[in-house]
Amino acid sequence: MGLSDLNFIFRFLPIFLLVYYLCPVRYRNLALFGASILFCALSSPAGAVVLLVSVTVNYLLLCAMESKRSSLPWRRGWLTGAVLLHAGLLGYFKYMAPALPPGISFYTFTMLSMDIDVYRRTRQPPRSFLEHGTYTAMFPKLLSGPITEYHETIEQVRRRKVSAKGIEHGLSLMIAGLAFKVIIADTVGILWHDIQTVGFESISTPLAWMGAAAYSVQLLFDFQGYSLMAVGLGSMLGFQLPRNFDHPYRSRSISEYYRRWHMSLGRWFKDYLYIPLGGSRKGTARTVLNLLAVWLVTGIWHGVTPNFILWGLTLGFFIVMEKLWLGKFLEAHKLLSRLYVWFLIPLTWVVFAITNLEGLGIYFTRLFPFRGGGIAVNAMDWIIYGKKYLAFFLAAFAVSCPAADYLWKKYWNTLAAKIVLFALFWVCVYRLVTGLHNPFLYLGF
Amino acid sequence: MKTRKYMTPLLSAIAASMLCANLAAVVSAHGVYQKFDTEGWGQPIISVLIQGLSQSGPVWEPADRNTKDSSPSLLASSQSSTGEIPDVLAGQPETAVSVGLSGNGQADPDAGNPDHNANNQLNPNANSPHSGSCNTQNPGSAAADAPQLPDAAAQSAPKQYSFTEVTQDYFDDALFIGDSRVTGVALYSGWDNLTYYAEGGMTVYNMLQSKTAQVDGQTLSIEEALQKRSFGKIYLEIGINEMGTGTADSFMEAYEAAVARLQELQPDAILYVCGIMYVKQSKSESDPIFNNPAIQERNDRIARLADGENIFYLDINEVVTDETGHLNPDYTWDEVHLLGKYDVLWLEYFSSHAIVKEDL
Repeated sequence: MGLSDLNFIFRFLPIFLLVYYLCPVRYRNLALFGASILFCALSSPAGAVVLLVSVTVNYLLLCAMESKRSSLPWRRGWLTGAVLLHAGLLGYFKYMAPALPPGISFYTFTMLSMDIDVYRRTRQPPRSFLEHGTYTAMFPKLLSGPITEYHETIEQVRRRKVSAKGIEHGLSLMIAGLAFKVIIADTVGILWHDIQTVGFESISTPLAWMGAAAYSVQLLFDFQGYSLMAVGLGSMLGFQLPRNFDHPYRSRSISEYYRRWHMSLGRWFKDYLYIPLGGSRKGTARTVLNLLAVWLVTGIWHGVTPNFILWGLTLGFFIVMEKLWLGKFLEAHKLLSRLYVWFLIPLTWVVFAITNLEGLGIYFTRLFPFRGGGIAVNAMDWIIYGKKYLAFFLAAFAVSCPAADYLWKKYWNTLAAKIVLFALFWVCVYRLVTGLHNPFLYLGF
Repeated sequence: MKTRKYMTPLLSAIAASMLCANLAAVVSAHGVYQKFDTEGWGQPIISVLIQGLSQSGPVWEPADRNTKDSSPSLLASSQSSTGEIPDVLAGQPETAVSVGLSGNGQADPDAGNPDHNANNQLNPNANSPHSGSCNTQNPGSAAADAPQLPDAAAQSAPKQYSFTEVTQDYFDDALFIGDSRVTGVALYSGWDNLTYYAEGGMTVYNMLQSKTAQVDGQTLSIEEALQKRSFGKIYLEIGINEMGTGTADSFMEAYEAAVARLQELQPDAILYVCGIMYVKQSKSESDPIFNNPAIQERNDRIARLADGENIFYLDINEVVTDETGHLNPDYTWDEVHLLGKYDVLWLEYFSSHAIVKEDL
């Protein structure tokens, strides 16, 4: 069950909200934790067992670590154990097991953040199993993040306030996120699906570029839509979950793009991998190595097929280039830097999307048909597809403009906006019932 | 207007509307929209109301007209969309079109084999009432593949024709009508001397009204276009989107009506009715609706429309299936459509299975 399922919207969420709002504040964590386990079990009962077991084991590890607080080697030993355990579990389920337990990539990182923060003594350990479980498993962010860091979230688990404004704002974000997903991502995603149905050999070069754009838009609106829903749900429950997207396509470099894209994962890698490795403080060579290491791990986190490694290393390469000399050039050229991002990023998403290298090779020969190639190509096919999807590309562009931000900030709490959101909600429900609906892409990671 | 501190107007409005919609759904699920209540507890009751509204108009209008469109159209609006049927309708009880092995499907080593299809055409039931509406000129015969059926041809009245090989110019006055599988042929076969009236999601129920025909710069429905232009040959490839709708009987009823109308509009055209192309094995074996035994059941019925004189049956499965009798996995990505580079197989197959009346 995902956040855009009818069963979630019409059954799980209304019942949960009633229980949550009506029960006394001190039982709300219990309600949330219980609901989260149920939420996970409704997607996959085995996944709920994996979740419960990892939460329990992690809690015991933390207790063991804290039992001799003064001994650094002791704590370091337990932390190493915890990291190995989580990496092993994640590695096993991601790369060897037949099915991926829902959300494991995300809640594992959430727990590692807690283990490392407690080890570093930046925060006190959780006071109870329930606190630990609520922090780790709360269902708004269970399946695909945002990945919360312990030091910024634990206080909210202990004490938070549900306000009318928070509820309204959260609900508005939820509906906006749902619309991003159902109206834009799912529709534009059909183009990418169509291209695969036709076969990469046969698409025209303009269609190949439209496909790269379509997949980029689909991924952005799918994941951004999910993240907005998660943050919105969090707000309805009194949490302030971290923002996951900040208009990445407004960036002027690849490094900036990834400070604005899946921000919670980037931040996690920065806080718990890049900086501990020395960050940029140990000379150029070490910085380059650290960056490549982070991007290799980011690639592997998404998958172990060669395309993900290639994707991560390509991004690492450009980010290193930017750090060394390209960055200054991009800084000085406003238009060129934007074109650079808009040209390069969709290409990297193509690498991300096509998991077999042969297909990837064919796709690139269609993007850059310098040596001919292609079988049964129809040079005009892009016009037919273009007409079908143009409106949705324009909609995606419109809601990503700075003007859209301005309008949202200024008017979200007005009656007019509420009427629009109300209508959008029912349009989305209508499309969910009648249309063809895809699960969120990032549930696969 | 800013809302006050303790008010949650959006939440209240959504909650209230959900409550009302659910109540309406419960009432309609036991009344006018009962037939949309197919999922039991699998889906929220609201889906019954929305399905009902979207497919048969408001409650206060008669719901009969569009009920046939209540299919889980495989390709709702695009050439291919996701290739999955909506969960909402998966396992819909009224779609019990031979889900099990019917003897024609994967359990049958002959499935997809030309001889097998020829045998189906020899079925004595071919003279059933279903063929009556179309075989007006030759109600006694069901032979389509005349070369393999000399007896049938000899016994039956006026003239029987046999398939021959033709060149591409044969198709200069040909029309190819069909769903997304035909849009693929139109785009990627490279043969542009045919006319294509094709659209993703087209069904036999909405075919004639489908606005897919370009005539003199105007977009017309197929029915209107066929009143303005005439064709020497019409190929009809349709049926996959209707798999989830009704039964083979109700499908054939609409199919025969469509064929009769095509004949009425274009009395001189040779009409080729195409068997529905199979799906890939993995899909066939996992999908309660879009599976090859159910497709074959309908193909057998379509084949019976052939009269050897004006209507001929063509089965693309002769060339796109592998040794297992399912759609060749190398030919498809989404398990349902041919890859662009294989779309030309349709036309090559048509070229080797053509009727030339002038020759006889």
